[in-house]
Amino acid sequence: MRPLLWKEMRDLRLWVVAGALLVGTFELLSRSDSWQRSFEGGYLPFFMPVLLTVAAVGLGAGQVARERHARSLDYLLTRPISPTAIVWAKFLAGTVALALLVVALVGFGFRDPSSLRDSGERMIREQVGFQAVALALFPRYWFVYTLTLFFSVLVDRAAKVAAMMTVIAITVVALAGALTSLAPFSRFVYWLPYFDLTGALVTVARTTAISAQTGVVFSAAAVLSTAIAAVLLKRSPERYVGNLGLIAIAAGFAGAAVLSAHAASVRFPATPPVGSWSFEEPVDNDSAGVVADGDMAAVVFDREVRFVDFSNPAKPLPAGNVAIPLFSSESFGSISGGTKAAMGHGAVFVVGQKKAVPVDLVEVAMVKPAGELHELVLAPVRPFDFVSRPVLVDHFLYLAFSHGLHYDLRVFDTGTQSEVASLPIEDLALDRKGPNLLVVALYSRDGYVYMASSASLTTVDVRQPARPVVTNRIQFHPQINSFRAFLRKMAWQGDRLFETSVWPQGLLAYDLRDPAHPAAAGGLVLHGDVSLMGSGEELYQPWQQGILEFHGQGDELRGQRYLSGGRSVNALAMGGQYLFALSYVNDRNHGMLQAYR
Amino acid sequence: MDRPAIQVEGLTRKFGRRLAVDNLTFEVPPGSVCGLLGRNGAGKSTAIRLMMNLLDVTAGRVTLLGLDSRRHHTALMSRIGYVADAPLPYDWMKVRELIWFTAKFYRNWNDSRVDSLLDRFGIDREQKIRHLSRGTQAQVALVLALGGDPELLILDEPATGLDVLVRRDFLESIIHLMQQDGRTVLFSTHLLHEVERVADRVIIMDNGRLVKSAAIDDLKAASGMSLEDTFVDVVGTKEPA
Repeated sequence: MRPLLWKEMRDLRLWVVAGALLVGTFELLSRSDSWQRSFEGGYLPFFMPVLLTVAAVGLGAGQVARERHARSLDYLLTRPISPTAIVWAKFLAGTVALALLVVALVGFGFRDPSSLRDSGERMIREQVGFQAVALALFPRYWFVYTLTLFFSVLVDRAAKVAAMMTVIAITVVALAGALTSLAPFSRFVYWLPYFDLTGALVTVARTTAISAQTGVVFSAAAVLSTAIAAVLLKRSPERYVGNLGLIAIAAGFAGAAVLSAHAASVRFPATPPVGSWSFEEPVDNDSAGVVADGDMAAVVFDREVRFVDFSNPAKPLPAGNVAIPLFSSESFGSISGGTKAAMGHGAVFVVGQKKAVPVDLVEVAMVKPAGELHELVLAPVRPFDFVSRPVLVDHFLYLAFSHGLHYDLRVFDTGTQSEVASLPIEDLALDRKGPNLLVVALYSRDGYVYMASSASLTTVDVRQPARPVVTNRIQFHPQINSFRAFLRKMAWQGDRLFETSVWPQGLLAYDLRDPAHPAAAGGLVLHGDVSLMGSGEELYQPWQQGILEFHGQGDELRGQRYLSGGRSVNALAMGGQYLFALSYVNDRNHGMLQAYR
Repeated sequence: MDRPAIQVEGLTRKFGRRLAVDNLTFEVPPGSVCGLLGRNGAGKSTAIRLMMNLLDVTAGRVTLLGLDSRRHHTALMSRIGYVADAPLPYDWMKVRELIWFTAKFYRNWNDSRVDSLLDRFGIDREQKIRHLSRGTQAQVALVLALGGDPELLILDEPATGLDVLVRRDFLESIIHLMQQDGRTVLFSTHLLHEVERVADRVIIMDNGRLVKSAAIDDLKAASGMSLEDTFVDVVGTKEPA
């Protein structure tokens, strides 16, 4: 085996040298500003996996096929060494070379953190270390390498092997996309060899159990595919798969990708809406949200609220349009999460900015279908203030008002239209390096209000609205400062509260059997745009051209029904027996409110 | 009677619809030097590659030194020296490195024989393979085939690329060296005079089929013709240039 290893390492050294030169060139280039701007953000998520794939395929493709083509394989096969030993020697040498390349290419992505400007790169780097990522990635590319070695045994040209592996790589990426639709809540993203949009690889690298589990499976697959390659080389040293065979295999992969995409479209039974109401949006409107209370839904525009009665869903009736003068629900702290409004007791409460002299005011407009309008002034508008979406519990309105690293839970009596309490909260886990805006999401259930920032989940007992009491705080670790401005939406199903985590994308689950003290109960992977909602038996998420209804069971989320709408959904609201979905088409100024049962 | 060094029974190989080797059956007794004769494309190289288990047989069986060539491939390779009709592998290695690399596969590697042959051929051990002439490469290939002290030497067009003088010395000396120890040699060629000079047996192939397999003396005596005339007679055409 020793001479074989020596020869293989000599054969592969060019790849290692090329890898070192490439990393050196990157290092030099990364000192230039323009390169840093255009390249840095894409290195870990894009360039690194491409380079690792090229390395894994390049190492394996020629190892047998090139020797067969040059007939040097005959030389080895007519020496007293078993074909099995030949393949395993190649495998060992390739493994060493690949390990060096993985270390170099991953290491480059984790060099000198002080020079990092890109937030995407920082997101990864703030959460995982070089060793964890290298350990998580190596078995994946090891398998890619051994699969290449396997094809290298089957054919007689390195170029054919490389072409085959390119087809497989493209298919895998396409399949991953299809699987996102086919099984949006499955854990398949944990098996991808790159940082996809959900950041699942971050979860893998950070979680020893998942990293070990996937690592063992990929490593076993690598060893198995090498063992099969060794047997094939032993059984017959001539080529097995002709050009036609290769084309058939490639077509098989492409077919699998197409079939999976088709399967994704029929994966869940589609349920059409029971009622639908179309509208033309007001002039100069930029956004719209929806709230509901029982059979009554309200579409909240920038300066107007339109009520629609769905008592008879087959014929929804407009129940009133109320304009809010000099007001904008859009312009104040209008970050992800859509319009900030709540509905109850026949009224809609909209947070917005009111034109005033000398400074504009942050206020809550209370709107009723008959045209009744009251306004609760919260504060003068200041930079970096943020008001959460309000929640309504009985006759009390709750909202979080944040400035800097502090926020207050403010409680208003909707009957007297006055503030009855204000509870200050400081997010101690946050440091001052991040953005100045602190975004807080609010949710209520059974006499408790849950407040989620990017650093903590705070539980407040509001059974006595005038005397809110913090009962529990859960701090997240590690937290990412750059995500202070992201909204962590919440939903509950049964006894569990789900909260979205932005990166890695997914859901954090909390056990609510003791509502005053939610206990962390694991995390779930969720793909695509995380925008779930739910308050009862099921959870909902805008998905494809409609909504996916799903159910959390243990650590799994299972898709159940596809509520088809015909266009992408902007906002959801739950009211009584209905789930309302607002589809909103900007370019046509045309929207649609659909109700599902 | 000793068992044959090479026993080929019904050896057949198809490439698609083309029969490259068709039901080839012959034996080579131990200690003999056997020339495998045939025109270009007669199937000699394919037959040898099938015997060396470098190609899958379509049908038939090959027994070398009493062992099935397929089942005992690795064990047989330590007892057989083989020179392919291809350039030497790994042309980035030096002669010294290729010899070291090859020697490590053998338990019974004969360093002194290798050294004396290299000296005899005047081969520079520090030269890279890629810088050697085709003839020198053929010599190195032969040295490598002999280094493992093989009981059976199979040579596929071994003298290709050698000039006339070197070829004469090369073939005769090597084959005599093998013969002295009672070892068996099978070499393919399309050059009749080479066979006549060094071989005691001949196997003639044409269009993938066996045409003749006999001792040269018996063949001449039976036909009353020279080997060349016999070849022309059985193959039906003159030896190609």
